[in-house]
Amino acid sequence: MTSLTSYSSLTNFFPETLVLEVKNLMYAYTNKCTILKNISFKLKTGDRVALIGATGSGKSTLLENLIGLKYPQSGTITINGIPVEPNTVAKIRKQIGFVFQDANDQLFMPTVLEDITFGPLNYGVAPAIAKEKARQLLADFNLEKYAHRSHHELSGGQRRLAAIASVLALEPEILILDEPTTGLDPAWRRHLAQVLLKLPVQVLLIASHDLNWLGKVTQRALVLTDGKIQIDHPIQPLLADDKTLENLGLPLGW
Amino acid sequence: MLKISLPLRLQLSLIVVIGTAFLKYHSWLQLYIYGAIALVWVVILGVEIVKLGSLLGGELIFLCLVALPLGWEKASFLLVRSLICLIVMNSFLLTLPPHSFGIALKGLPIPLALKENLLLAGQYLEILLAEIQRMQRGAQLRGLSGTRGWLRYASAAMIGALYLRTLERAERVYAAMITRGYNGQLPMDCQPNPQELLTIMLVIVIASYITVSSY
Repeated sequence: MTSLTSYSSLTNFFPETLVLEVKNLMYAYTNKCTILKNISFKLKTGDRVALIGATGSGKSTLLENLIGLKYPQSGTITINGIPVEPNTVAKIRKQIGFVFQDANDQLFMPTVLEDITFGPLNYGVAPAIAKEKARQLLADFNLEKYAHRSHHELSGGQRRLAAIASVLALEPEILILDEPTTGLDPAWRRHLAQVLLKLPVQVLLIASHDLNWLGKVTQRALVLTDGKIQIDHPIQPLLADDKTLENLGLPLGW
Repeated sequence: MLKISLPLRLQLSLIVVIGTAFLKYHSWLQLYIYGAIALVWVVILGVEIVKLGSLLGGELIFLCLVALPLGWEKASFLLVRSLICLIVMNSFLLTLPPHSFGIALKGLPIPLALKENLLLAGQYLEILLAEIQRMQRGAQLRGLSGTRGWLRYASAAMIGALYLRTLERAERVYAAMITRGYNGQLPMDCQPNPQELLTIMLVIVIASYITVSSY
C-alpha cells in the first residue's frame, strides 16, 4: 500500500471506535475475473471517506459487498462487530444507508413522501412517526412542496436529494453513496456537499470520480486500482499531488 | 377550483360513473340529475372545456357506431348515459398531473396485493415508455433508415436491449428495496382522512338514492 504520509484520524465529534472493518476481501465474478483482491481497511466513528478509482476499478462492487448485495469469495466484512453474512444482513442493513448511483432506482413509490417513509415502515416504525420524520427531511432538503407528488416531477438534483432523504429516514450509522454527483450542476453539487457535511451519521463513505467535490466533503481517500487499495491517505495532500493521481489514472481537472 | 386529493377525485368519479351505469333504462329524470352532477364535477375540477369537448367528440362517434344499431329509443338513453360517464372520467383524467395515476390508484378499495401489483406495473410502464422514447430518439438522431430488413433487425435489437435494460433496472430497484427493509409487502399510505371518508360516504348515499329510485 502506497502511503504519502501516515493516516491520522480527524475525528472530533465521536469517541473513536471501529465501525466497519474489511479484512482480506476478495471478490470475483468468474474464476478468471477477480474484481477485488485482498482489500483491507478500517473505518472509525467520524470518518468521512472517499473511495476513488478509475472506471471499472470495482468501487461499486466493493460497496455492494459492504451492504450484503454481493458476498466475497474470501475475506470478512464486519460492521459494529457483526460479520456481513446472509443470516445477519437484515440487521446490518438497518445500520447502513446505501444511496445508489442512479436515484431513479431508489424512487419507486407513488409519492415522494411514501418513498421516504418506505424504509421506516418496513422496519415497523409507526406511520405517524415515519411521516413526521419524512416531512422533517423534506423540509431540510427544500422538497416539502413535492411531498405528495410523483418523483417524476423532480429535477435530477432534487431526485438525488430525495434518494438521500429516503435513506436518511432510516437514521443509519453509516451512509454510503455511489457516484452522488453524477448529472448534477455546480449549484446542486454545492448544495449536496452542504447537506452531507451536516449529516449526523457516524461514517460517510462516498465513491466518486468527482475529486474536487470529494476534497470538500471528505477527509480521507481510499484509492482503488487494479482491484486493490493502493492508497489510504488524507485527501487534501493527495489532491495536491498531480503526479500520483496521473499515475493512478485519475488526472485532476479532466 | 377546490383542492381535492387525487385518490378522492378518482373515488368520487367512480361512484358517479357506477351510479350512472346502474340506472334503469329510460329513467331520464335520474339521468338528468347525474348529468347535472357531471357538469358540477367539470366546474369543480376546472376542466378545459375545449380539451374535454374534443376528447368527447371522438369517443361519441365511436359510441354512436356501437349504440345506433340497437334502435333510437335504446340508443338515445345509452348515448346520454355514456356521455355522462365519459364527462366524469375524462374530467378526472384531464386534470390528473403527469405521472400521477399511481397516486390516484392507491385510494381504490381493492385488495392490497392487487393494488401493489397495479402500482408497480404502472411505475414499470412509465420507465418502459421513457426508455422506448429515449431509444427511438437515439436511433432517429443517428438517421435510422434503410431497407425493411435492416429496420426489422434494428427494431429487434432495440427490443432485445430494452428487455435486458429492464431486467437490470428491475434488479437495481429490487436491491434498493431490500436495502431499505422490503419484506414482500409494499407499505402504502392509502387511508383517507376523516373528512375525505365523510365525503365519500355522503356521495355514496346520494348516488345510491338516485340510482335505486330509478327502479
